[in-house]
Amino acid sequence: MERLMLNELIGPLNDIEKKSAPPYVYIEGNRNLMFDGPRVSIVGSRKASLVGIDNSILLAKALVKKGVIVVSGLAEGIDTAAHKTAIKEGGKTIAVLGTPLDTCYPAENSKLQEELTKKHLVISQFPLKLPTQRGNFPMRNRTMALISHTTIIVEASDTSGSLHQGWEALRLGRPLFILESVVNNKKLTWPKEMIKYGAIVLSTKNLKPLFDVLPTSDILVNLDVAF
Amino acid sequence: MLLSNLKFGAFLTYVPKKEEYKGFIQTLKQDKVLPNSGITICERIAKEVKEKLSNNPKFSEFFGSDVYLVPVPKSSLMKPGMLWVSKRLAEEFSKLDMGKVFDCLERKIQVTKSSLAEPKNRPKPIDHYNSIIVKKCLEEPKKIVLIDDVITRGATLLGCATRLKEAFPDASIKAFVAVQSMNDKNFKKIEDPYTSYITLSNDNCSTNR
Repeated sequence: MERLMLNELIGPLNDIEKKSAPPYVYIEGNRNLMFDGPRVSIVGSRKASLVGIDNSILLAKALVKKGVIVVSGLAEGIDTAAHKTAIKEGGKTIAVLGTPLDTCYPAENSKLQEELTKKHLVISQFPLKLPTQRGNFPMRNRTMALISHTTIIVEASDTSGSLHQGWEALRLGRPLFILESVVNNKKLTWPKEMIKYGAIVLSTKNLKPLFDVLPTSDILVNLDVAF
Repeated sequence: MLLSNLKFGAFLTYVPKKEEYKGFIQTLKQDKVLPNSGITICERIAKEVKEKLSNNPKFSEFFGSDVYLVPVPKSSLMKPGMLWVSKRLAEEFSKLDMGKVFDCLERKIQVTKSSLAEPKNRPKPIDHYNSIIVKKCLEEPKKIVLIDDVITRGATLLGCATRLKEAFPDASIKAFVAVQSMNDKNFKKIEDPYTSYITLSNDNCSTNR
């Protein structure tokens, strides 16, 4: 396990990014994954529908095929489907935990967490032994938005923790996608609200808008010498 | 009645269809810190513009202590604390005594993002005009320069400029953008200072520049 300042992991931060960035993160696993390709979060409900799980799998497969690192929160439902699919498809995945690295929540994912620690990357902003509180999870979601170049919300209720991540992505100016199936759910109010503030509707039949916004690898360095 | 034309200046040029430019625009849209220099891209652009264009007669009319720099609203609505790149650019120009930030425009109704829409579905100048308001203020600027990160066709700038002309009829209004987009696939240079006019088409529905 290593303790790092967040900028050591994702590079220097601007003032907007610093606002909700944790001072330190604790990581275990392959740190080089942070430089292996664009990072996209797939997030959503713990109590996901079958359609939601299918969509999470479809997205993770498509992202792995493009060399994208799948980021998620190791929660049950959408998150677990995203991590497991990335592994199954031979891709790379990063888990951002709402617990310290020495705790697993949910307990059923302990084997998955172990595998991610060995072959992929697990990140937590919470020091070891720190008791897990409800407030940790929204904090984790904001950190996940910061670590990811792009976020996709696959499925979420009006009270889901994934909404914290969506709003944070919008605050940071990062692309936020909401699956069309969620937007079409008339019972939900949050998708329409987030669209007003810049979220993009994504159809699983056309992922081009998602791939269009993924960064190329060494652009920052190139840009520094562009002038 | 929409303004029929608007003078604008641009510092950089990019080609949206070229893969190597994709990350450049995202870096700007997120005001990322450039690792080699340790400053944000807005800060870097402002410094470069100050250094390279302040003595260029073609650009002298865009900046100065008497110029009010008006950030162009995003296509979506904004909440306090959200990243607003146009305002970040205006702030950085202001820090270098190139004008003062005058945050007087607000988007009241979200419009489709031009970069995500088919050309025929992109918002027209009138859509921008109808979705933006001038906030109440006591200032009476005489020289206004709209500041934006990227210009594609100029529809947003023309809609904003029309609103400003109504509110401040005696003010001269121009625009300065960090980056203009270009469709020429053979274009290679990024730095390419340029001035031109955005003109409203005869049917009031589109713009040319």
